[in-house]
Amino acid sequence: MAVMQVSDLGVRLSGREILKGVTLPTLQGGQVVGLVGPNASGKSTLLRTLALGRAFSGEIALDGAPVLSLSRRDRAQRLSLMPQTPPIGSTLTPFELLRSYARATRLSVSDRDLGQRMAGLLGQLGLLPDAHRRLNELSGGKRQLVGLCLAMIGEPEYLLLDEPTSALDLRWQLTALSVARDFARDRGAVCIAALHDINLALRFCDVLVVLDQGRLAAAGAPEEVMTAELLARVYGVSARLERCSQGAPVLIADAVAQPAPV
Amino acid sequence: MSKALHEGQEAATSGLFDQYRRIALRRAVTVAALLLLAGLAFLLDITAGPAGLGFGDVISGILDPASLDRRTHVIIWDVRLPDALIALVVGAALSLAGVETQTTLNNPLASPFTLGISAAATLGAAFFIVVAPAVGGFGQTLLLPAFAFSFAMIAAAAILGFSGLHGGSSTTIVLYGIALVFLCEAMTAALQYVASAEVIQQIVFWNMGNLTRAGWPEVAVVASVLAVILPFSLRDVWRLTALRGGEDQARSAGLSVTRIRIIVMIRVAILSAVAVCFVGTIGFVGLVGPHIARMLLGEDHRFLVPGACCTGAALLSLASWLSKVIVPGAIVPVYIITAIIGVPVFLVLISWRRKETSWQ
Ligand SMILES: Nc1ncnc2c1ncn2[C@@H]1O[C@H](COP(=O)(O)OP(=O)(O)OP(=O)(O)O)[C@@H](O)[C@H]1O
Ligand SMILES: [Mg+2]
Repeated sequence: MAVMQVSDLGVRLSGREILKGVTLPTLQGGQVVGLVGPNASGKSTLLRTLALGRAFSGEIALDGAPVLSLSRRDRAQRLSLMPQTPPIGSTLTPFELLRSYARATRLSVSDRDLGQRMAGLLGQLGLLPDAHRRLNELSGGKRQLVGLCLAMIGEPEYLLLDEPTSALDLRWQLTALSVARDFARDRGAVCIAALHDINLALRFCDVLVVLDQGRLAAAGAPEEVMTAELLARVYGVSARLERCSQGAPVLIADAVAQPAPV
Repeated sequence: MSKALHEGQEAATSGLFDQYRRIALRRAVTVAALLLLAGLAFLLDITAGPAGLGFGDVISGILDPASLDRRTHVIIWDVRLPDALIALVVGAALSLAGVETQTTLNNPLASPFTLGISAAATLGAAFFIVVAPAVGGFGQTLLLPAFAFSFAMIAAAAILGFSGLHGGSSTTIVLYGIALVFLCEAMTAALQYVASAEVIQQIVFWNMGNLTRAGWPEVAVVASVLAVILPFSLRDVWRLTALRGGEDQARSAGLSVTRIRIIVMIRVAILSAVAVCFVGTIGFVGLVGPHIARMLLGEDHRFLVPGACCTGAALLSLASWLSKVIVPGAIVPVYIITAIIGVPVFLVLISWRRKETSWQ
């Protein structure tokens, strides 16, 4: 079962400190971790650092082993990132791209199993009718879904998603996150998803991690973390959490509470 | 209900694969057709020339060399065949280099020539001609290409070295390449400035791509280099295809984009330096060959890479044939043909299927 530990993580880019002293609670396999925070708070930087081996200070451990001790290939097989930008609009088809990813990263699966895996993913994410259409003809949301397939095709132990639902309609927001959650549950994988939609985060995540200007603002169970006080402090909005008729917490943002920091 | 759903899923899955098999089959057939086209272009090429030997003469001369008189034997075996073969292999090599460059730099304009490799080869050749105008005969046939090749390799190493210092983003590489083109051209111009009229003419003539100076040794060298490099390209077809989903995506999946780029640049440098050092500048094939292949085959590099070799070979063979028949009794440098005939053809192709190749 996957376990990720991140402590005192610091990242500098172009001489600026982007992440400072970020220590996360131990992330357990099967969990969906929501990474939230304002624009430029460092969500993408955190995910990229985890996945791409950027230079960092502090510690990142996968199953107790420091991530730097893993070979590049090993790391790539265990961690995979869906970046914030979807695949470019080339003339490849989702089918071709997916297959090339599996083969280029040398997944050890037979053609038959790979085929089933691809069909399963494309089917779950509603891409079967688009599987043989060119990427440059697909809509933005469809391309984002293709990006999710790409991140999942290797069945990683750590699935890192950078705003996986930002371009999706209601139905596919729910679908994409349920697919990711089921994947984490079924395979004991850790899924970390950067999300701007707090309501989606509340609904799907087991743990929320809130970043603010490169620092950890809060981490823990969603309902404990998401308070009106935190929303005011981190986002500068006045917002309330109310219970819907089914008892689930719902965030309603009312107004900008204070002028944006200059 | 759930059984019906399951069956629906199965049907969708097998439909998915049936459709893919049809697409793949169509592409394989297209590659075969392109190969055939290259073969036909080759045949056309060997039958044309100032000596006025017809198709039948040439074919029977190849099949039964013993029956030929001395003069015809020389024309067929020492002129026509090596010239036509060098067109095939140089076309294939440049187009292969082009397709790999475009893909790894994610730039439809990139070709061995925008990278300055050809300009550097020209500089090397010019340098040799100026420094050693007296060396003729055997020394010239051996040393001139050697100079052109070394300069091209130095240029490639410089680009890789510089861009390596700055993280090797694709835009940096293209920018360095363009800077290098200007530098080499300026230095060639400087050499011409100080050279005598006769030497200038030699430089200009060398620079104009010309297939007719190649003999069997040149054919053998280019063909062997192609034969060595192509398997490595074919081994990378999945990685190259994956790059067409975008660099960021590929990196995120754990592919070492920088490493792929460096390896490809080394292949491209060798291929184009070898091609250019024997025949001079034949720029257009490295740009157009790959684009035609992309239009016909899509971007699955399992088909695109061999397909681009075929389109390049066919294009240069056709250009070589045209260069011999367009002005009766004379051979126009193929460089002129590839550009003057090739550009309009290319423009028509682009507007015909513009939306089918898209880059971001
Ligand atoms: N390559 C870089 N060099 C310098 N600074 C960078 C670089 N990449 C990101 N940053 C800075 O790091 C900070 C965090 O950026 P990051 O992309 O991680 O934010 P984010 O939380 O993902 O924002 P968003 O919600 O807008 O996607 C920003 O201030 C950004 O300007
Ligand atoms: Mg981001």
